[in-house]
Amino acid sequence: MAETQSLTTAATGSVPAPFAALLERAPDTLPGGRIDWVRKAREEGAKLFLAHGVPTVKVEQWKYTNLRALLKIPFQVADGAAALGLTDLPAGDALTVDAHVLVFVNGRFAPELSDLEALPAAIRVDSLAKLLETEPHLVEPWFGRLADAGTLPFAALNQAGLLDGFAVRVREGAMIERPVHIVQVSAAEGAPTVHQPRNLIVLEAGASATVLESWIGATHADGPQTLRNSVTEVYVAPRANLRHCILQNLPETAYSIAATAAKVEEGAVYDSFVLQIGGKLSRHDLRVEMAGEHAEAHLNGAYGAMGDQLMDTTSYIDHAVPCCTSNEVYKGVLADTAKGVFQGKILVRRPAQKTDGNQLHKALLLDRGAEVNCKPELEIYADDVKCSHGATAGEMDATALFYLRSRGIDPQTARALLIEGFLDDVVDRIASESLRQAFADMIHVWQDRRLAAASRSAA
Amino acid sequence: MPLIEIQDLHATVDGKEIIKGLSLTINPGEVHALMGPNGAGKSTLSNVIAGREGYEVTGGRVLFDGRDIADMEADERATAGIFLAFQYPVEIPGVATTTFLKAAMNAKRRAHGEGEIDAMQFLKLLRAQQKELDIPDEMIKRPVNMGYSGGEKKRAEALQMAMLQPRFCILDETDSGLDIDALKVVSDGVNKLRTAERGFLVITHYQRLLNYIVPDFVHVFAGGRIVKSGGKELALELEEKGYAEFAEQAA
Repeated sequence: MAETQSLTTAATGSVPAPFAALLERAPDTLPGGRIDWVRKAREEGAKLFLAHGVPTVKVEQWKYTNLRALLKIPFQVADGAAALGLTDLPAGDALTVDAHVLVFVNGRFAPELSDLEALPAAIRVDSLAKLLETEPHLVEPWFGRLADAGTLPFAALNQAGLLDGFAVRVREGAMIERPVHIVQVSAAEGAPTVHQPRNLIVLEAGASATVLESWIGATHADGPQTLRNSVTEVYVAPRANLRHCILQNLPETAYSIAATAAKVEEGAVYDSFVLQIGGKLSRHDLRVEMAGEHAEAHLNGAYGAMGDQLMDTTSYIDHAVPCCTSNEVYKGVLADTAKGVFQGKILVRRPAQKTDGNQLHKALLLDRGAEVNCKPELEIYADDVKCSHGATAGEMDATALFYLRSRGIDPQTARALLIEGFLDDVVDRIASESLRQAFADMIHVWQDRRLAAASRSAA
Repeated sequence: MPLIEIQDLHATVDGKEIIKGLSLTINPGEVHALMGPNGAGKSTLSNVIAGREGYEVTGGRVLFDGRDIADMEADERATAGIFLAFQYPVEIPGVATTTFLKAAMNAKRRAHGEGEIDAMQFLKLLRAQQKELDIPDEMIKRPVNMGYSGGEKKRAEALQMAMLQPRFCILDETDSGLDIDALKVVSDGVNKLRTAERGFLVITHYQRLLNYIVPDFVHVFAGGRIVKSGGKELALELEEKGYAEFAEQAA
């Protein structure tokens, strides 16, 4: 602790008080506080975060996402569900789909809101804090190894302040049909709070499972702000197949900085879908390491932003070995003065011959004040690869609009159909029909929200 | 009363006059063919009648059922019963074909003071029309026009027409991009819709389509107006002689 504190003092003042508070907790009382490697990881996280500081727009990776407003908020470290007295969840905010539902409030497991009963034996879902107490060896091989605290400043902060999160583990060869749905609630009462979920998903060799995440809030639209700084490390062992879907539907008082880092081994498939429709400022770092030959990654996503929301997807796909495939399609709709950011990098290392890497980002701008910043990046060192990237940003297609209107559809409905269609087009890439429906429903919710806001401001 | 009456119509696109005094009357039950060389303004006419933005009427008027349509938006014209079968039907990613068809049918029903269509009734209608036009379920499951071949697109246009039951249909170069089999299927679909109440304006460059959709009247359109009108035999004459002679007349 002494070392951490001296580091805080030594820091240039670029680390604001709320974050410093996250670093200054007595380590012995924290989960895994007596385990040597956990303490070391915390210390390492603190050191790296202090070395980074909070990134400014001068840092290339944060060029379009300004955190200045965030730093002015006096966040306090958040309590869990029990302390908040949270007894049920807001209805309709999370994905609606048949699944094993587990709830985490401010990153801490809320057993009273969860349903662990029907989980098959081949899949385990634990609280990371509990696992650190009982079976730390199930955490150690992955913790901090997949999400690189050296290049992700907020992952370093998360590592330093490690408290709790979810841990999913699917046993070798197990085919889990029913999805596991982790509902993660950001909640604050009275004062603004910060919480740092630390999650782990491990699929053993040949396993197959679907993990869903819904990030939602439990505070009113005019309630205190929350900051969710999450890290999810994902390990997909050889021949395993993970469908990983995330819904970010936080209230407009919420800030979200999230990193998902996956390592995909030989012949394995990581199939990810992320829909962002909430939050005031939301950054998602998606990092995928193609670590074994013939691995596949499908990274698709959509976002709908309005008002003065900012939604940022920064992805980094690392092709380290030959014969892997990665496909990434993201589409966003931006209304009012909302801002979208898509930074997509594909790195193809010298040994990664026969790489097939494709990336596409499309943005639809509904209003003059809306803005999108797109930065695709291909860095290729192998000479026998098939890689592409593309980006478009534009207004609504007048020809399509006329086509719909020529069939009698009124302009408002026609626009709504085209906007939803624009996003549903990516949702269609989800293989499971019930999940497709669940995400299409959420896009519809967003659309209704947008129309309601538009009619409010018109009134 | 005539179904549609175009009176000395003048229209511009991007400030350039394309339609230069066109008059045409179509009565219920009639099929008129409008034939002309490329660049004569055929598609401009169809877009003007359908109410597309950017096509400005600078003179004359179009009456539908005796009512001047100048102030009607594209969707109002459609719900009133005007249907344009596009030369190039538009692909719309993400919008399910059934959602689109239902929205269009319900728009029309609402405009006529009727309630939304019952889901079962809709499916029954759709199935029946799919069968007529040889449209497999697989096509219907795709988003609007997505990945359809040229022939499939035209069949899908005919399907929409059959579902919406318009009073006046404009077929804009429906034969373009069609092989002979697809042409027959689409023409059969159109012919089934020929009733005493409905009128058609078939716009085409070639006579071929008119072997299948036999018109009551044929008009030669050149230089922004009709330069000659006659019966169906005029189409054959055009096929033989070409448009050169008429282009001179227009100039």
